[in-house]
Amino acid sequence: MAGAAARATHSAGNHITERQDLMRERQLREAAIQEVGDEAVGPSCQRSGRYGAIARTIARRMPFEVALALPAQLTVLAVVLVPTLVVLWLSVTSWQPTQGIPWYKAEVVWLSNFVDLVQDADFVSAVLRTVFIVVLSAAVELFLAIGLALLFMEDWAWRRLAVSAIIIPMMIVPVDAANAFYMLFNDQGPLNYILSLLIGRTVQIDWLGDVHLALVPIILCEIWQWTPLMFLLMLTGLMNLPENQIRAAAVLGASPRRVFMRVILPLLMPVILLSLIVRSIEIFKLFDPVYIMTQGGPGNATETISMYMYHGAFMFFRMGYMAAAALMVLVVVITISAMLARPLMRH
Amino acid sequence: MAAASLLVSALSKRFERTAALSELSVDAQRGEFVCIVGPTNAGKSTLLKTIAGIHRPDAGAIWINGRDVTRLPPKDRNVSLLFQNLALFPTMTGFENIAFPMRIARVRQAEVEAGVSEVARLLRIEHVLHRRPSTFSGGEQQRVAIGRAIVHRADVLMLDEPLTNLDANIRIALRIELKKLHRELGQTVVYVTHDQVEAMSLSARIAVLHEGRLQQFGTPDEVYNRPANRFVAQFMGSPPMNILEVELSTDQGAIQLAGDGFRIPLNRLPRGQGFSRLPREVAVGVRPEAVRVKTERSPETPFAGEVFWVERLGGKNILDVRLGRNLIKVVVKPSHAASRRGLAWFGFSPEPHHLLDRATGVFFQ
Repeated sequence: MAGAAARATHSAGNHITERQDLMRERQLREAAIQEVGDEAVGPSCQRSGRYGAIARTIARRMPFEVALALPAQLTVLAVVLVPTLVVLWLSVTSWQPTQGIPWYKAEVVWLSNFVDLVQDADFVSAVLRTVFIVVLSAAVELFLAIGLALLFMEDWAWRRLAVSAIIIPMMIVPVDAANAFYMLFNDQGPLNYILSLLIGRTVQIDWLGDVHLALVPIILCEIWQWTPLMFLLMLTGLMNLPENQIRAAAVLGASPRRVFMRVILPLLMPVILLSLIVRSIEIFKLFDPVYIMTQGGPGNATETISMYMYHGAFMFFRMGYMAAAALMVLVVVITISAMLARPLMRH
Repeated sequence: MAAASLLVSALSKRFERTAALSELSVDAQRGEFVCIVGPTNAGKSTLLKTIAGIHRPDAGAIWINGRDVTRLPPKDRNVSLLFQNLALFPTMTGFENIAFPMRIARVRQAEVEAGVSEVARLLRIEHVLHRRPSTFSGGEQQRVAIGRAIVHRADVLMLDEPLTNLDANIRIALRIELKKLHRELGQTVVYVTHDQVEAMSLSARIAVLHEGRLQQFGTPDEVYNRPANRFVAQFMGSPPMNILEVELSTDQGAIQLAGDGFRIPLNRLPRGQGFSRLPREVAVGVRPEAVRVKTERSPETPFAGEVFWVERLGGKNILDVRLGRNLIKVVVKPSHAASRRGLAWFGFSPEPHHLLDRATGVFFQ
């Protein structure tokens, strides 16, 4: 190190002093690291301790920034990249864990999984059903959230308390919420009872057992639980809108309805698009309410894509086939997100 | 008052603990250009927003063209307000921004296009009509905002510091354009500014506000030459009017004003005032331009003073002068021989209406 410093002093130009400074700084830093390393392994190992040497080598070879980021990067690599690569591999095999062959020795079937999937009526209908739920739930949530948020733009008594009350559903464990809706929509449950009272004759609708109705409780549960999140996003968006532009529109003669349609809504569009992306991706993974309430039934009337994959992978153990399904779903989700993100980028 | 386009009477507005407007009354005749001036927090913007209907007044009434609009929502008042920060709609093109009031009024497309292109021609902004506000320069934003405010011929056009955020050059150019525009359109304009030069150059009448109260309401000439009180005297004019403390006395029937470092005769008392009714302890206002300066003593410049700072502004020099215990400002030509530090000789002849009560700060007139 001293030699390097000496060489530095011999090199010509204005950089000499600067480089000397750098060298000295580096020496000081290494000395400091050495001391810390020695202390860490205790007095018996002193300066020549094995761990101290390793610490010194690492410190010399690795920039500080890289050292900081590395643990997180390695974790991401382990939990995201590796499984993704495994799924990519499995999707071209016919691997089933019940056959007793390790996954890395599975039989390669190339693209036949994908060809089968496109012709698999269960898979296609699960995807379409999920898209239907996504579109319906996200739209209703957005509509309700904007309406609620508009009510909260003006200050009124108990406003803060009301916000807290509105966002409670979001904080409930999804499984609990699903259980509550399961009991609510039971054919002997309180909903039928209330309907009976209202109509005046006994109503016995088997919500969860009817092929045409079973999606209703599931979608309602999803909307009930996640409208609050959308509401919070919309409220934040509305509160951040430039006040003067809304006032300007009012002074220029616009009624509140037209102020909303022509000024507030366009200004809010980035927030709306962003929350639609977030919610669409979330709803696409819909699982808990379906699992609790119907398990995808009756028949497969409520089988979402997550439910379909759960059945395929953990009841029929068709891992290769389901890996291919997961990849196809990934493509669908990315496509939808990109479609929504394109106008967002424009803003 | 029959032709009053805008009549504001005894308007009061409080925000929590502070009174933004107190018993404020102003009016504007049809086609008149009225300026509201005052320092920051004088309540100027609050006044405009209350007239526009954004704020509800606590007391008082607002009449526009003989119609009481005090309780009407903004959209039914037929006024136009240009906000200080312009508030252009970022999601719309220049054309749609200007067309907004007409779209709201459901004007037919052909008329919208005609109206917008006329305004664009007036303001010379044809080239920004198809672009969005984020691409506009400061002057272009300002013009588009003005265009949006004038396109629908409101009964009262209100402008809130429209030129404040601009470079000096654009500001002066747009000031002249605003004046021309007003002559062409003949709209009633209420114009808020904190720049008294702008107010002097633009308006038919000026209302001076301070802490929510009306200090004076009159023509630029009245406000400048016959200020109502110490605040107006010092707010209008740059550098402000010098206010010197003097003692009022008589010497064989001649009225004398004696201050520290000078003693001058007053040729007559303020109109309607008797010597015996005036307090002895008064003050006198002297405009910096009205002070005579020479390098030697003369009958016109009998008082010695020390020039301790010279501010050279190109077209004029401002001298900071110590006259006895008084610090005054004097404006002289740039070539004036007294434009250097050191001794000089001064003289002035106060106007009777520039005498003010030291205790209340109100001019006797």
